[in-house]
Amino acid sequence: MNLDGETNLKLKHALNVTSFYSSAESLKEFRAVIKCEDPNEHLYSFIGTLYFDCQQYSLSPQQILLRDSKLKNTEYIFGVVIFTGHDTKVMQNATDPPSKRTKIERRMDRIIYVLFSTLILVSFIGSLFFGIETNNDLSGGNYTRWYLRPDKTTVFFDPRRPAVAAFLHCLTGLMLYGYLIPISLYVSIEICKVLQSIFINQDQAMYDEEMDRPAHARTSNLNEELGQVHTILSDKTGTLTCNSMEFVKCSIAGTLYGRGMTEVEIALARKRGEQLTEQAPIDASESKKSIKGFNFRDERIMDGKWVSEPQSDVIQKFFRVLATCHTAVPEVMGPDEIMYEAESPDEAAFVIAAREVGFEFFARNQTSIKLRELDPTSGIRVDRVYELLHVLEFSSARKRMSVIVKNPENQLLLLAKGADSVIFERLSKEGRAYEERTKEHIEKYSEAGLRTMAVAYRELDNDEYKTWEQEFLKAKTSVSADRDVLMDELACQIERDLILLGATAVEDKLQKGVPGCIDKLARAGIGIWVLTGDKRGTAINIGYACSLLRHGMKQIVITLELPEILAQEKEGDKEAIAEASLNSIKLQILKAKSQVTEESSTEFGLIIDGKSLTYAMDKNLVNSFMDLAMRCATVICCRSSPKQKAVITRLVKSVTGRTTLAIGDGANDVGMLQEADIGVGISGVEGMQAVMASDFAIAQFRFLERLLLVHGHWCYRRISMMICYFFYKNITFGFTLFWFEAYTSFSGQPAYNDWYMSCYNVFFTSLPVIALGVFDQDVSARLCLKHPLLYQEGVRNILFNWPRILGWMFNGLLSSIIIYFLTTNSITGPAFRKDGQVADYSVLGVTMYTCVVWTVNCQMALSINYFTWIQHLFIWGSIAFWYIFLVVYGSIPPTLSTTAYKVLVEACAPSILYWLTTLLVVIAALLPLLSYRAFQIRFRPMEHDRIQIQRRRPESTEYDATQRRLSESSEARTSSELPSEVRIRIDNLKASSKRKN
Amino acid sequence: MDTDRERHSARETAFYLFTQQSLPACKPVLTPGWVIAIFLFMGVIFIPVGLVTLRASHCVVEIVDRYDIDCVPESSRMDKVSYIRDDSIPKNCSRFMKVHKYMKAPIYIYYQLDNYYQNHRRYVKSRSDKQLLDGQKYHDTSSCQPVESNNNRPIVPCGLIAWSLFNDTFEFIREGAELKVNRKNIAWKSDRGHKFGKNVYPFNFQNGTLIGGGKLNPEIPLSDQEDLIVWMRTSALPSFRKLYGRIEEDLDVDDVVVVNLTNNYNTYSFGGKKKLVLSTSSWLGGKNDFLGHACVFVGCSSLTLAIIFMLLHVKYRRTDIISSYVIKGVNRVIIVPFAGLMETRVIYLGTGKAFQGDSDKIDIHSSFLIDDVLDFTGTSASLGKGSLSDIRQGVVTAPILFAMEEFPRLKSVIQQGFDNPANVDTALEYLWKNRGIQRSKELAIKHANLVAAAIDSLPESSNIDVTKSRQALINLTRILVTRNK
Repeated sequence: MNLDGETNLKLKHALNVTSFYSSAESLKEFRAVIKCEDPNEHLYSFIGTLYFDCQQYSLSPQQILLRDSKLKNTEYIFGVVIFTGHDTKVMQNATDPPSKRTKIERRMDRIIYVLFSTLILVSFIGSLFFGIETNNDLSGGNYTRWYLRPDKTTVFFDPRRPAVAAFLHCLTGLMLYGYLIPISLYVSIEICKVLQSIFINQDQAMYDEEMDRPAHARTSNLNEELGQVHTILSDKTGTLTCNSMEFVKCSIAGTLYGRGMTEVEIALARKRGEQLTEQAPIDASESKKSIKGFNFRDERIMDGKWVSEPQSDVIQKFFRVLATCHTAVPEVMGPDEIMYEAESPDEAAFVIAAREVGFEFFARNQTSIKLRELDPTSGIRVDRVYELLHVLEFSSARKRMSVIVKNPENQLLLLAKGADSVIFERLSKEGRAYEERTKEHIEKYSEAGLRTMAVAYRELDNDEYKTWEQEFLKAKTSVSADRDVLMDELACQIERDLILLGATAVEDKLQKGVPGCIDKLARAGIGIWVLTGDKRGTAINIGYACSLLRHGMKQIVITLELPEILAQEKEGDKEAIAEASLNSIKLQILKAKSQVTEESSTEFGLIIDGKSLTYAMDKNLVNSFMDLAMRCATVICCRSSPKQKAVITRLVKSVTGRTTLAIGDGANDVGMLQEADIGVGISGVEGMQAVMASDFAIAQFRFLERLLLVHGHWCYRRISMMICYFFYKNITFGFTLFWFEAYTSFSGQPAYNDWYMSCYNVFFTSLPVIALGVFDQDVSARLCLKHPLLYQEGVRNILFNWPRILGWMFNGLLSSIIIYFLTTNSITGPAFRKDGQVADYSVLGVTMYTCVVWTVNCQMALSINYFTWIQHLFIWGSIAFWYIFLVVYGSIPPTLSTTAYKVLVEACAPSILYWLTTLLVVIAALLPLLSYRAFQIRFRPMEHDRIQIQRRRPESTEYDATQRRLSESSEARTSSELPSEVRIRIDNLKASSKRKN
Repeated sequence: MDTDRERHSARETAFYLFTQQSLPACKPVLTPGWVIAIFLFMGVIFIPVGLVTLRASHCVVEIVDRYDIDCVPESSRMDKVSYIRDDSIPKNCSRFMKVHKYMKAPIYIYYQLDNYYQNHRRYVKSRSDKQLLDGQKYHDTSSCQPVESNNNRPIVPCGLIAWSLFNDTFEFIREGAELKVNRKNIAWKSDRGHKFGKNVYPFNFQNGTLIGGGKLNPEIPLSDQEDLIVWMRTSALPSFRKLYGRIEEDLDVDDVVVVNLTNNYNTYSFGGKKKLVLSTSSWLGGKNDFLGHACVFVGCSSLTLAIIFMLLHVKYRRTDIISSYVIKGVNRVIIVPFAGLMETRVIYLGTGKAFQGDSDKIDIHSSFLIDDVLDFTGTSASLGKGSLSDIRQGVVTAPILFAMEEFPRLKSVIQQGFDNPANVDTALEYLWKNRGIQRSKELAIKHANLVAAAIDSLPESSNIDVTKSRQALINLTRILVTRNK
């Protein structure tokens, strides 16, 4: 069951009283009543009581299997169904999947409205004039245009009722000029998007070989939105980091153990400019084999050598705590191989660490934990059984977990591990021996981006335990809303006077290529927010490690962990705390804002924690908070809950009004993914929940770079160009009809044969536009990645802004005018052939249509600059197909082909004027766009123009090499006081001069 | 076998390239060279084509005579409609056409109608192609509304078009002798052969109460009624010519052709004109100057565009050249933007010679110094343009100038120009060795302070707006200097 984003085992067990009902026979006699809470959406709580044998037994989440759970370690279970269907907790949690539309599509709708009004306007103008003309047919009792027989007419042309005729004509007009509304546009866009998605799915550069997972566009309708992302909201765990925890260091009794260097440490060291002594490879060769979750190297402890350490008893206790205080389940895979299924990867890392050091946890049941450990005195491995009395579970509120066990020596022990802050609070006076040193170490660890846990224990007094247990059991069975509170309080009672043993440090490994990718995205001008559940220190360090926070950036920290607030919290007046917190947050935001305004020259990073965030989201504050956040280059929200993630996403979306992209891998990111304009799921180890809720699924974070900068940019460009072009071609066509109308006294006679018109959007202009929408590339993928600034074209939406759209429409209007008037003036009137024949209705139609087909296809050729054989085939093929169509259609009997009968073969083709007119009209219609493009590229080039031109220059190769090196080594930027660009250029120069010599 | 496998793998490679969107492609870019070449080419093509077309058009001799008014007797001119409707009045009329230029046979005779909507929807639709081909065998004449039948018998040919057949006739006499007019083969061959039936004879035609246009000889099959066939090819525009016949004799200059015509057709009720046209033809057709003029116009526009483009291109480049040229004699450099304008950059020499603008009026501004500095230190993301774009374009900016002061050797590098990227690199290396950037910044700050002082020196005012704007000016200056993007 993957609701919390973890694939780990959840320990579920039956109540002790019912656990022996393990056959169908025995269940026959089973009678019991369950009373429980109403259906709700809280996954981690359940309140219920089983009435059985006149006794009450409390039911907890431990006894509940949620819908969709998979059984492990057992073949079957017997159970009672409590809720079904929509009452289940899982279904209660489900939200309706949002329907997402892209900004381009939304704008397209508005363009359609514009066009529709144009259509109505044009039809109205047409019918107005038609009404006037029809009215004139009857002047002073005489019929003027007698050849139309106005005396014997239908209602459509009746000069006695011109208003009705005009109204009916308006409907005719709507049909006739319907070509202004490109109905086929929607179909074409869908086709293009599906094909684009296939390209995304097929991209080898986004294929993860290890996991055998390609990128997957789950919805095809958001492709172009990928090119307009303004802000990325990223989850941390599993997205930026691998979610594979490695036990790297520990501090026991105030001594540091563990020699490995973490990725983050390396990055930090580089930042400080320290020279690194490479030691990792040596270590790697030493270790026999790498163990997942364990990267601890210290010869003082490994292989049982801890026995000879000065504080060996503390070390022993320390690892015993790690080996017993957990909820992991061992799985014996072979004689010497034990795997652990744990609820969290940290926990697994602890147990593995304990095993590697020599405290092998190998079996557990309801009441006991079995360890195989080294006896320091005899030096042989013995099995020890710890009787498990109680497990006080981990929760995010408690931030600790502890177990109460009875060891083989019949000592009652409470073993605890938890966040340093909570553990330190609960230390006894004599237990603080190593506090200072350990604190220091924890500080150091968290600076290095490691997750830390403090480890402590306590010896329990028998009497004390007895009294506590009674109360605890009572609380456990009570059915009331405050049961959890009660239990927490009781747990607090026993978890005190602890003796500190030490601290652990677990590395949260960064995913491959994350810093480089983030750097590239930042250079593309995309803002990145990290929303994480981690604590501030870890979040900041991960921020540094993946170059979200950079050297020279000023940090603004908004927090409630201030002395005055903490003091108030101790007093416990909730309202006062809330008010004080709100005021404090307000003050901090205002201060930060003025700081940002004053020092406009520096970049800022904003770090805020979840608690402060709840106050910052207050109605009165939210605007100034978002304002502040927008001015910061990086925003990190730590300690934020899944719900907060979704709320922040919604806020960013609504405040900026720009496209947001959320990326995450766990079920806790689902809300965020659904809320954002685009949700990208990482199909990592944390199950498929996020992927199911996402719009795009990729295997690793680093593929996001390609997905956005290459595919996003291309798709955005393709779709926006395609839509503009579509409007262009339909306006060109539609308005030639209108101009012709004006010369038929607006009678509604189309300029072309019906079949020409029907085929316009289907055969003669459809394929090139689909080729544009599917294959066009302004710059190659390599250059897209090399010039991340190109991405801003999409963010600023400069390819689909109103001036551009209207420009294309105007171009269409211009083309239609040029086509109509040049054609009519050139070929009608005097003879258009040597043999004295004049051009009639059918010849004019064919000539105009030829010009339209040529013009729109050549405009296409002019506005793209990427020709593979596909483009050539489609564009020139469409034009050729028009002639073929004309010949074929013209050769079928005249009763079917009507005006098209032999029109090309007999009438047009032998006429030089026809060909000459085609040439002239097409060139004249292309001239406006050509000259606009020529001047614009030369004097106001857009980013892609610049890159295209640069690509042509021979010296650019040198420059390219530099750029590539620059992007590969992002840390080089900070390596010295010279800006790295300059430094690299100088290096480059030296190298090239050497080569010359 | 081997070739088979090769072919197979080649196909696979092609498919792979296709899915990876990296098919070999031609990527034309509109570089200035291409632009100029295209425009020039278009000019070079279209001007001669236009001239040739015009010449062809001028070779055609055309005589147009409007006769619709003159052929109505003076007395009836007040009410031309009733004149034309009155069948009892003979409609004969004689016109004289003077040949002003030698006309070589064949000379085409057209009648031209103006303001006659043969393309009106009601009119165009009112015909039956099937009936024209099959005659009375085809019964469904509903498309011929409103002239589909008379006395419950179908009309062949039915429909408005046939019914309104043009029926003026023309006879041509030169020097007393009749000119032979060939009225065969004036319709399209395909129409005669395939649209109008060879065994279809006019039937029940013009027998109604209201008679439209001309009558047809019921003895002649439709395929031979060429006047009808020509008429049935509806015109595209309300003003049109239709072929009447051919004179197959040459006409000499000053020949006078007498045209005896019968003026039967009613264009008076809707104010249409009737004209008679005699025209020779060239290889291109009739007399039509429009195409030639359009070609010449398009060609000229292309040439003009090419020239404008070329001039702008060169001028734009020269500003780059100027700034690097200036360096040669430089000993002191001041950056001077125009007063009030923050976009223009002028570098002028210590000799005091300004390239643009009047130096007295020029307000020293520091914005560009910072612009220049940022060109080296800024990142692409924080600036609108890429870093080092100025130097890449060959614009020599303040930091470089300062560097030059310290390292005279740099001058020679700069004089070579920045076309060679190696030179850019050398310049940059020098730049980072010296304090060029720092000095530019200092200079900028100095000038900013000067500006602030200048603003302060303006007379005091108690007006709040004035104070506000003054403060705003000072702030603006400060922002300009301290900004980093």
